[in-house]
Amino acid sequence: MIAIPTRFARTALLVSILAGLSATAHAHGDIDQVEDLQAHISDYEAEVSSMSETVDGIVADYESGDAVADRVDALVETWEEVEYHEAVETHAMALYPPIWIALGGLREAVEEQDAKAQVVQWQQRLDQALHQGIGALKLAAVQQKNGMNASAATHQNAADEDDDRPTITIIQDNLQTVLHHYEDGDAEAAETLLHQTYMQRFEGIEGDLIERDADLVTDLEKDFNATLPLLMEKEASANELSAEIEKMNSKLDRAQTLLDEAAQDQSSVF
Amino acid sequence: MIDRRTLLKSAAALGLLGPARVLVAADAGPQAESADDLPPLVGELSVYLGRGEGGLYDDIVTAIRKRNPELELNIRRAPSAALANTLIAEAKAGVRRADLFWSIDASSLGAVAAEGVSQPIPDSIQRQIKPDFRYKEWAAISGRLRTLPYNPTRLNADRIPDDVMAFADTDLKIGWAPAYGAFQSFITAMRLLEGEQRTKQWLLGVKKQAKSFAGELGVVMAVARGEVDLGFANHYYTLRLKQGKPDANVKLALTNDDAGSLVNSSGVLLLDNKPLARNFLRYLLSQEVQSYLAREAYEIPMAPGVALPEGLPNAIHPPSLDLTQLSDLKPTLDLLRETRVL
Repeated sequence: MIAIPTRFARTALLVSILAGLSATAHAHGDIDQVEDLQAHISDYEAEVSSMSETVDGIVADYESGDAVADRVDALVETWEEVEYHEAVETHAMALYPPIWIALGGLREAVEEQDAKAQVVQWQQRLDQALHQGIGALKLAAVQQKNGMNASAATHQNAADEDDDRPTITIIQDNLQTVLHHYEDGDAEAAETLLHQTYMQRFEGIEGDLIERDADLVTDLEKDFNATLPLLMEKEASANELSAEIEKMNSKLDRAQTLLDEAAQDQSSVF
Repeated sequence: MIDRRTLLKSAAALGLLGPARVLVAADAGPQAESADDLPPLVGELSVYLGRGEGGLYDDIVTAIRKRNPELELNIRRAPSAALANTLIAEAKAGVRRADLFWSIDASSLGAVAAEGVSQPIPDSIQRQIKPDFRYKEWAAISGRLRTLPYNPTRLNADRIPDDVMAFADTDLKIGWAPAYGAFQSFITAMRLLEGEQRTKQWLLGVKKQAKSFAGELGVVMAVARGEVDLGFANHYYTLRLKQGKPDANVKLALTNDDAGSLVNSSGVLLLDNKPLARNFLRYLLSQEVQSYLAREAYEIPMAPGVALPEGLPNAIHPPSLDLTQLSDLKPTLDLLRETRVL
């Protein structure tokens, strides 16, 4: 059985892969549903609200000792049938696997009669993933409403892709922004940026670091994918989150030193 | 249900497959071009560059710039999938901003090529690529190999099957990272080569003896610590770990001509007919750049005559597979969920 933080890390990693898959799916034009997101946001919210209430009931009855496996299976069927499912699959693919993983985790925990606390943890993950999906769809709806054509999309993308700062600096700055989002009560934005930073920045520099301190790499991977997300999930105080980010910053400072050393040892191309 | 035989037959009919592939440490045949023999790069060139191995791709671009002061190079960096999406959107809007797309994965190249916006790779450049990795639409640049890192204090090499499908029938304690992209590409390759039913049975069989990790570095480190006998992971994690810790208890084994020895590749798509774009690609396939990728990023060079990264077996027998098919992830994820591996 995988420990909870590891499962959480798996979710984050899967998200990175499926972000790519999403691009491919759209590229081929295989998925062309849900043309007017804005008109359906309230429907999606209602569906998510209904599923959340269903899970509340399931978990409450599980805590009372009732058999609930069939109801979890029915919940999975509901998820497969709602419009929200199609919208997430089409417009917010990065949030698609965490929902499935949370549903799978909930089902497995119930079937294996895990402790109530574990079932509740999966409930929280599911609830979080469902609501993150709503957040992503709202953003997608705004973009859809603005009628972003290729030129506009290109321009918007350019704003955040070419960044001359050292990668470690970008990561540390992003972590500060994660903290600001969290302090402002926007945990969704905080977690999304944290995941993006791991996937798009940290994974790109881990190669040289592995040679010099593999334990540091696995430690930081745990911070990105388990420690910080779990703090946010359990609604820890901003001070607690800030303290963990400070610890990460120290590790990242060491990573920068190691990367500087690696750069000195690096051979030239020609 | 498509099985391996059917798939290979179809692929052969499409001209996707050559004879069985072999990658060797040093080829006796044609050698990669030297950058000294290439024409100077002069003029304006726009390259979309997928974020890759640390800053090494940037270093290559910088070195090419420095060597070609009359080259006006515009680089746009972002995740490969995002760039693929942008290129497709630009094409649909009748806009072309990039002359060349350098992606870390073949599936992004395949997605763009499928839109019909790229130019075929000229024969003269195809000859600068190892024969088994020549594709009409894109040029393979450097590869990543699936391997079996194992702990020699727990396991003798002669106990390791050379057929990946045999692992479901062993009693080995195995480490894997099912949520990791490279693992999912590996399972996708297995699905394409062996069929869904065999892959499902394999997942169910290995699952009984497997321990899951968040990433493949974790798998390799668990092997070195002796937590598991063996794992499934891309080659460079082991090579990098051994570079830093030469006495780490981990060695590499390979399977033979199956998904367990898959070589996935980064590559380049030419988006117009500019000679400058073609010559830039020739630089990427030059002896110097290919050696640099092998030496510093531990990637497998795709130009002939360039040595493999140190620490790899002398001969590698990857399966023949159209790498752009690895983008077909959804059935793989369905299988992983169905078997409760994910």
